[in-house]
Amino acid sequence: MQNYLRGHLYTFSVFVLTIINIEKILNYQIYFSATHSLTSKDMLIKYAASLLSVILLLVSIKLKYRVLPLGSFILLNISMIPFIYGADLFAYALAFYLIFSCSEKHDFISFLGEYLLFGMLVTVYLYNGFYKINDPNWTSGNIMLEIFNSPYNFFNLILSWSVILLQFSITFIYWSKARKVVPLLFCIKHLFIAIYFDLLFGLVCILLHLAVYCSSGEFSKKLKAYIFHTKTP
Amino acid sequence: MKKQHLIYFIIAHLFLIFFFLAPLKYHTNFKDNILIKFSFNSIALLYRGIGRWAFFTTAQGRFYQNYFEYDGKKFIHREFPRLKSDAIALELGNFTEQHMEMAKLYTINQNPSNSQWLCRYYELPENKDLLFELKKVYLQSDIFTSLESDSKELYLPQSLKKLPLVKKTSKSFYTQTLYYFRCP
Repeated sequence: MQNYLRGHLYTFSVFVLTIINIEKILNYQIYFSATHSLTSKDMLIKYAASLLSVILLLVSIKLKYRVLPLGSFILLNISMIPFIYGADLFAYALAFYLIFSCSEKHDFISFLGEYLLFGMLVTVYLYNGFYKINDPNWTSGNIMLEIFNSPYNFFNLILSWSVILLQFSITFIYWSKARKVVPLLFCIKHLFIAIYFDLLFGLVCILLHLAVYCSSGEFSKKLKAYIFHTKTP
Repeated sequence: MKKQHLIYFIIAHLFLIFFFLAPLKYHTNFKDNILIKFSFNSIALLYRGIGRWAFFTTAQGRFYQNYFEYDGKKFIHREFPRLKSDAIALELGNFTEQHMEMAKLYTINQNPSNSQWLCRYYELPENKDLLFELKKVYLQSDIFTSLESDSKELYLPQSLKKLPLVKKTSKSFYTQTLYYFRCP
């Protein structure tokens, strides 16, 4: 299961990027109604170019052939829209790290991909956890009332605190045993997000945590091995 | 470790350090720090939505919920608009450049935690009426143009029309360009 996922996560992530791109084309009128100065034609050409980059990403087998289309895709997207919403931000990051980390062979470059992915996730969730714990709506459980539109009860309080604690538990992903549990808990959380709030964002985050779940080996040992040139774990 | 690998490793570390420092720009104590400013500007080249996941995450969620529900007296909660909700975020600006505008919008949505942050961050005077203008770009956006001044009814963008819980309001609150607020 783990190996299967590991082999296909990159394809999934590029597939999600394609969906995001198509969704933007479909909602073109909304995204560029008043805030952008470029003409419609320019924008559509850029969209077509970015879609072509995504196709190149899918068909490129070697790592070096993937970096260029992904780079051009990200640059095109950044130049096109004044705001990049959460789902595509994380989807770029995921595809970028997976280019390096999902290869069959476990080498330094693959390790570096994992290292960046873990670092990014830990930073994002720690900040998020910090602000949640400072937000009275989260600590009192009121946020769940808003989300589920349900009357206040003790369950809401437990639920909001479990989300806060889960945000901080991201640091455990560096420990290989916890890596089999923590990402799955996050997947459940993001499944709720996908159902209740934002389908694309939820799906991208699930893919991110599956990428963490598929990573094997003790992180500290790998780091030590690559730095001090000892035997690779 | 090979020399080439060492270079990659240092670059990756620098990226992670900048990535970690960048959101601190939204913290009152660090907003003028050169290193944090530099980190923020560097990371913002690639991640334009930075700060969304750090500072605005929960507040933005409430913003989505509250926005169309002002009935003149209070805000009525409604369901999140799914998927297309990002169009709203787009219209309301880029956090890296226009977070002040967002904060103002939060303030007019009577979100206490955001107004407190706004007052602290910009060191605004206490207990004094402050007037601010909402930039024209927001007023031209789908959300604001959707409120037709003649009929005084709230018309939503095409994508949101089908949502069942959206209510029409007779309040012309959203068409105003000038707003008052007072720092506690």
